[in-house]
This record gives sequence, C-alpha cells and structure tokens, in this order.
Amino acid sequence: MSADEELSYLAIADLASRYRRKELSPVDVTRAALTRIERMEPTLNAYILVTADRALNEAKAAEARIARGDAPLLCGIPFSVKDIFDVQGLPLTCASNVLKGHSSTTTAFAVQRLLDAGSVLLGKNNLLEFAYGETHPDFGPTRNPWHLDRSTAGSSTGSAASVAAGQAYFSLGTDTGGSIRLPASYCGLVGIKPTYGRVSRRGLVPLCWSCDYVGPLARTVADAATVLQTIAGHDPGDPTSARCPVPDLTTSLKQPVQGVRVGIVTREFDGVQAEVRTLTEDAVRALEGLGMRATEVQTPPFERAVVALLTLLFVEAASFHRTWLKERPEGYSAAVRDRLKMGALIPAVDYVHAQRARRVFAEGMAGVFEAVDLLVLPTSPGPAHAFTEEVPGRDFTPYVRRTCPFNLIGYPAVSVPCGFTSDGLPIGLQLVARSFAEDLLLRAAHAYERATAWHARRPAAVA
Amino acid sequence: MADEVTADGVAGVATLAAVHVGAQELPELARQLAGFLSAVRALPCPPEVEPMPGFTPLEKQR
Repeated sequence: MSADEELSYLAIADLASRYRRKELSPVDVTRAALTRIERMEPTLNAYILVTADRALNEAKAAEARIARGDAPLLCGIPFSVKDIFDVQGLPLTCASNVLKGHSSTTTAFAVQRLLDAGSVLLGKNNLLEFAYGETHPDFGPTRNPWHLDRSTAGSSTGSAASVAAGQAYFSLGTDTGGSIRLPASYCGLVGIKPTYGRVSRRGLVPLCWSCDYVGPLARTVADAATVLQTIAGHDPGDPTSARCPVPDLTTSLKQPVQGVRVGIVTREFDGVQAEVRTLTEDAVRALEGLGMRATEVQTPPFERAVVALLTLLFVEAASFHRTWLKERPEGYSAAVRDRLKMGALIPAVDYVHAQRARRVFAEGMAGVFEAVDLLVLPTSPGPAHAFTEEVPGRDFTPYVRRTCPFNLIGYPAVSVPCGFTSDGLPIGLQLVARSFAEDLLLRAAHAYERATAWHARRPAAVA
Repeated sequence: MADEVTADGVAGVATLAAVHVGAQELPELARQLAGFLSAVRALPCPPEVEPMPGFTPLEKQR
C-alpha cells in the first residue's frame, strides 16, 4: 500500500493521535482527501458537491484548535454527508431536480455536532433520489469501489463509496429500510442505524417520519462509535428525540463480551446466496469463540414487517411530497413519481392497519429479546449486484427484508464486514440490540471485528 | 376487497386525493395497488391491538 493509500485509510484515533504529535496536519490530510476525490470523480460519482475551499478553511481552524490542546477526537477529521441534510449556505438537492436552486438556511443537528467538534466537511454525497430507492438519471449511479460495475446499494450510495474509497474518513447517512446498513454491507464498511430517538433528525429531509434514522458509515466499529458518540443525544428541536443519557460508547468497546446471549435468526439464513450463508455461519462460530452464547430464535415473520413498513413509507412519503408532486412533478424521476402517486392512493384504514401490525410485530420482537441480548443475521441476501440488474421501479423488498424490520420497531442495528465472496465482494453481518443498547451492540461488533481481519482489506478498483 | 381495485376506482380515489394520474397510468397503478393492498390486508392483527404510529416515551425505554 502506498503512503497516500495508508494515509487515506487511517483509523480516526490514529489520525487524531498523529495530529497531536504534529506528524500530520489537518490541512495536508484534507488536501490529500480533496485530491483523492478529484482523481476518483466522476468515475465513482460519490459527490454531488465538493466544498474544497470551505474544507481547507475548516482544516486550518482545526489545526489551530488542536494546537491549543482543547480539541475533541474528531477535530480535523475529513468527512462527508449525504445530500439529504441541511448545511447552511450549501445547495440541497436530495439527488432530485425538485429542489433545483435550493440552498439551506440552517444546518442539520447531527452535522452541526460534527462541525462543532471541528470535523472537516469535504462535501455532500450522491444518494438515491430522496432516499426513495431509485437513481435519478440526471444524478446518475454511484459506483462501488470494490467493483465499478456494481451497485453500492442505497440509499446512502455516495456516503458508502466515499468512505470505502478512502476519500472521507466517515460519512453521515440515513436509514429508513436499510439505507445505511445495506451500503455498508455492499462496500465493506461498518454502518449503524441507532435506536429511534437516539440521534436527532432535525435538518434531514424526511422520507418516512416514523422510520427515518441518522447514523454513521465508517471503516471500523471504533470509528463509527466515535461518530455516533458525537451526534447522539437529546435535541429539543426534534419532537422524537429521546432524553435517555448516551453511554460512553468508545470506552464500552473495551468491555468483555463473554456470556452475551446471541439469538441466531436461522430462518433469515435461508434465501440468501450460498456464500453469504457460509460466511454468516462462520461469523456465528466466531462470536461463540469470543465467549458469546448463541442460540437459535424464532422471530415474528419478517415479511409482515416489510409490508407494514412499506405501507407507512409509501403513505408518509406521499404526505411529505404532496405539494411538490402537484406543483413540480417533472422534477422527480418517473419511478419515484409513480411510487409517490401509489402512496397517495393507499386508503387511511390500510395505513392504520399497518400501524397495528407494527405493534404486533414490535411486541413479538420484544418477546424474543427476553431470552437474548442480541440478534445476528445477514445484512443483505447477496453481495453488491450488477447495475444491469437495476430496473427502475423494481421490487426492492428482497433487499430490505433483513434490515427494515428494525426500522419499524426502533431497535439499533449495525452491519460489520464478515468476509468476501470468491470474486472479492464484501459481505456484511448484522447485529441487532434492544432499544438504547448501542453500547452492547457496538461492543459485540468491535469484539468480532478484532477477531477477524475483514475490515483491513481495501478495494483494488480505486487503488 | 383489494382484488376489486379497478382503473376506474383508482381514478376516483386519485381525484379525491388530488393526485394527477394519466389515463395510460391507471391500469398499471391499479394492478400494483391491488397486489399491495391485498398484502397489507392479509397482515394478521387481533381486534384489540391499537395502532403504533411511532415511538412513545414508554416504548423508547424498552
């Protein structure tokens, strides 16, 4: 690995440590990240906007702050955000022509937390249009750094590609049915969907109010935990923000995992590709090797959660987009426009029925968690699929089947790399905990990561 | 019943919802809605279960 590559893939704690020892400068590191973005775009198409001048100014300020000795760990660390978050003074597109010409007048809570910590914003990432499952043709697809003819999954497409390609050290994404965890799985990253209410959604363009989450994509569990620690906590400006105290997530990574009860969702091992199944079973054995106690569990059927979530998603998205759909329908891609129309035509009684089914599923899952501390299952049914498989308006339920149930019930979940297919594509393992148990969730994920070397591999396609 | 969703029926609902649906879009939209609504209506739910629209503070503490 070249020195440039090595620098681009440093862990956040290592980079912060080198800043403090004056071995590296945030300005030089930011400049290197911008150079890397310039070299890889437009091949990757991970960015809608690169804020180079702003980033260099923030890096200079970070350097001064580190020199004063009062800087948080994330100070001077270059990052990116999905272009669905407001950042004051910057354009906001959501990868759609509906918002053409729009600039944000405020900054999203989570982004502001990162800026307050001194992190350096490199730019705004490409995504599926309004995070709604489709690529707008004017914005184009983001390519997977592991294989340029493959998808990154979505909807946090550019966020995942940027971190996997060593452009940004972490990125902020959103997850309504798997939009952080699936790109993390496809791109060999760690992606966290926190508990509902753990991270404020203020300043995020909503897709489905009751199922939207904000979380990090990073290259290691420790990096992701550091970011989550910074963005988590109560926000009086978000009515769904929880008042629960945030545990020390980074310190808790070092706690033991012996005796943690892991429920294997065996039924969800069916229907995935053979290599995914094998790697997931290997991962379960690795968890047992770390002293965790694994047992098979029976969950309520996930297909019911998928239908319930899609009902909420279709209707809530149609509600949010109602005015724009009427006034500027031509701004949407045809596939998203069709989906919004369908959502607007779902009767209210069916929407409420889905909410009732949500409670049935949530209570069933609460029962499962009486006997276990964590669940383990594959994140996605297969590795990154080819772009040729992406047909506008396709049924995406097979992709979100193992991720969206936890959006429906609020539980935190993480995807961590658990191996590679024979043709070199990464696979993700999903761990799920009960609400507000991110400390246990990340501790287990960290222990697994340390017992394996999957996170250390780098994509050759962008080397 | 969801399997009775027709293009004419969808056109009526679209008018009520103030959503523009072109005549050529109606058959496919009706087909998709019929399939989806039958899946929604097949979700089992005892009569005493109340809706869970989001997360209450009580549920957040679980």
